[in-house]
Amino acid sequence: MSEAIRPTSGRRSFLKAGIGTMAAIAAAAGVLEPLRNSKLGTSLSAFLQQHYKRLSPEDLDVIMKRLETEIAVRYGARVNIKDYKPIEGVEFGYALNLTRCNGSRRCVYACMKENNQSHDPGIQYIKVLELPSGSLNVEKSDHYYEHEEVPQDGKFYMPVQCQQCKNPPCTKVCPVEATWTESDGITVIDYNWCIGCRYCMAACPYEARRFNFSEPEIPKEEINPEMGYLSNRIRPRGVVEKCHFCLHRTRQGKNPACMEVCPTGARVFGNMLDPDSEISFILRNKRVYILKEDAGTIPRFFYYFDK
Amino acid sequence: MGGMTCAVLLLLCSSCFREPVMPAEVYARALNGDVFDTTPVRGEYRPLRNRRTGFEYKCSECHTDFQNPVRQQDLQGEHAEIYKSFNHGMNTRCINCHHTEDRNAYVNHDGSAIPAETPARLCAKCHGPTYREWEAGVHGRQNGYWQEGPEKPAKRLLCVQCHDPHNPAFKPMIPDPPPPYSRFEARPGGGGRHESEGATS
Repeated sequence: MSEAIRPTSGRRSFLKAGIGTMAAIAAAAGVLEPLRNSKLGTSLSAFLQQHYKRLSPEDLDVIMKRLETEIAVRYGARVNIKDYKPIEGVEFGYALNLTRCNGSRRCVYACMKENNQSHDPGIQYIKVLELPSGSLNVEKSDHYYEHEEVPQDGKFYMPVQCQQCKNPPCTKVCPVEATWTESDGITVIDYNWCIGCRYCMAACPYEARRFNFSEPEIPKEEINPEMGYLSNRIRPRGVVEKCHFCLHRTRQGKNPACMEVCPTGARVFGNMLDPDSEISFILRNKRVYILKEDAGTIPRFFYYFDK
Repeated sequence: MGGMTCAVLLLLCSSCFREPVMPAEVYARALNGDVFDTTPVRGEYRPLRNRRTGFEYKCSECHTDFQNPVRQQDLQGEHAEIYKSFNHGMNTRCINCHHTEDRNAYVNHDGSAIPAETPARLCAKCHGPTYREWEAGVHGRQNGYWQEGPEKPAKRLLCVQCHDPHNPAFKPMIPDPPPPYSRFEARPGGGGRHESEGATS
């Protein structure tokens, strides 16, 4: 008797399925709402964009053109985005002479200008740590120091930026492989693939990564129009960024911006695989050390004292 | 009553949870000037110039007519200023560097002249290891290209473009402003964001 009155699909199950479908449609519409309301009409293609490594050169050209348009609309600046590939037989290394560095922070602001970092909220790739003489304990450092003049007696200064590790913890924790190390040793980020989970920031022992909490604010006249896809193009909101050894400059043979402006000549940059380069001279003749050696990250950024 | 409590709470919380914002005047200070300044600390290496009139001259133009004072303290004019600010360690005699006969040149160990065009060779007399490092491109500021080529010049500075030969220590500089204050970080030695806010309100 009970079998006779149980239908295969009753009113209740029909209603359930119906409500479920309606909810799913509404949810999908809700998710797509920002895309439909976008003033640019380009966000859908950004939404469906593939990972950098899976893009053909033609795809990348289209994407870079689209990004140029987006920046022109958002910031009112005409920019030129290019994709710079690593040079064969080059592995970059950076050395910093802590005897010379006087903590003037010129590198910090040149980096901001070169790499189109947000002014509000302020993002800076380089932290200049002020340490008491006789200690390399970064726990004792202060990077908010304000003085009439530098260097101060009894202090030394240690700028810290991305160390471009050979064994980087940041790329290992990325759940979507939005960050990886290129053949010339530079760890890069595909800003359009990054989901903003900030695992890499937690993994980095050098606090080298920065997060865009809001849409970057940069005055139009401060924008550097020469941009690289993986380097200094203006980042969207909600992605991680960091120092990339100015790859749009260094992959053309130029020096990075921080080295160009360093008034003391404390910074030396070059190709570690070339035995005649300045960086090789330093690695051969100076007693260099790496920051947080015990973390096992094998940085390509070296510090040394001399005299 | 409840509304007021809510408003007060909102005010209190918003003062605490807002994003750190870089003060505009701090940016203006740092960014109004050319932040991408690649000029050397002491400028380009150039022939001597008269301070008032600006014309170029050579040391020999005066020193053929005027007698040198016997004592360094008796130097006149700009030379007296050099004597006042002079601070080069044990190297206290003018003729340790300046040639006594060829007034435009510097002097080598054996009394021969080092032409004014190669001033680094004079410094190398005493600062040998530094000179070797400068030659290797490791001491001193370099601009331009790490990958040298025909169209990619690397610009290497001379000693005197950063060091005053009469007072060679590198001069202190005014530092650029500190980064925006992060609410996640406490300043070593106290004076955190919350404390300073509490003090003002």
